[in-house]
Amino acid sequence: MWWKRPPRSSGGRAHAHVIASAPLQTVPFIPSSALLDKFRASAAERLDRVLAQLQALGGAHGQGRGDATASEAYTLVERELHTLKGDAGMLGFRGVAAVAQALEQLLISQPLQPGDFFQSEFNRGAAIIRSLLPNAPEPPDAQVILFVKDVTEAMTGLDLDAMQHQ
Amino acid sequence: MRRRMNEPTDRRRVLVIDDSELALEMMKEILEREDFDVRVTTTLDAFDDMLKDWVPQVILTDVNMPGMTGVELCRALKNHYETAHVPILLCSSLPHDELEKLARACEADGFICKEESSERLGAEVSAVCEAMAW
Repeated sequence: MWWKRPPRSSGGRAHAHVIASAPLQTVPFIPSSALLDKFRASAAERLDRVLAQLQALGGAHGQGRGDATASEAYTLVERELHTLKGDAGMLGFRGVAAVAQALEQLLISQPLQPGDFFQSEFNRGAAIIRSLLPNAPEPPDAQVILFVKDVTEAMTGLDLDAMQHQ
Repeated sequence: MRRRMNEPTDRRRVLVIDDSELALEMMKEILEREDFDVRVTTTLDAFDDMLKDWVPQVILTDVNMPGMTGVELCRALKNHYETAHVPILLCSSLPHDELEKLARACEADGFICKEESSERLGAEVSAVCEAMAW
């Protein structure tokens, strides 16, 4: 983090004077079991809403982001994934955060038509997240790393065309 | 500075807006542990209401929110004479580089990645408050 030196008095506009952060005395935050349970419930609900929304859009062969009427629905799905990623990251569920981020990126870079790959990766990602939720917060495991790798590779170069024409 | 008569006067005041209730709950817990007086909200309407009679020393805002992004909110606050002096930190799960770019673009006073916030949030906000005391 960086910060600007605040003005000495109120009413003045801070100048863009950026100073380096000094070493901070950080204290690890250990979330309560109640907070973790709340996250698990909230994450499961978000996943349900994401999949239901995609299903309502017609699944693999339904409306894509290019469709004006579907655009708003995709924005909502994107927001759900973004919030899921943020919540998971804050609580140390780094595997969940990594999968949510991969799905968010997949959604953002989605071609005009969803295609089978898009739908199957969403189902796969959701299943991975569900499998991770009961566990304690932990870093990405092998299945998460493989999933992120697959999605990342599919989003590069010509593979986007392949996704679109599946 | 406006402050309700019955408010504690010696605690540092932080206002947090985020559309995730879970994120707010966690940030509130972290900051209260550092003895901040913390107000949180998920909506812009409530955010505006809070500012009417309570001026925070630091504002933390999420970036990706419905209605108005944290970037737009920061610009609006920096252009309002009553809040122009309040340090604003963007707090988001966006990648570090992207978040830094946004923070600079909207003249925020800093930023913090959500993934780092569980350990650094209290210390970062404390550092901003200490810097204000110069």
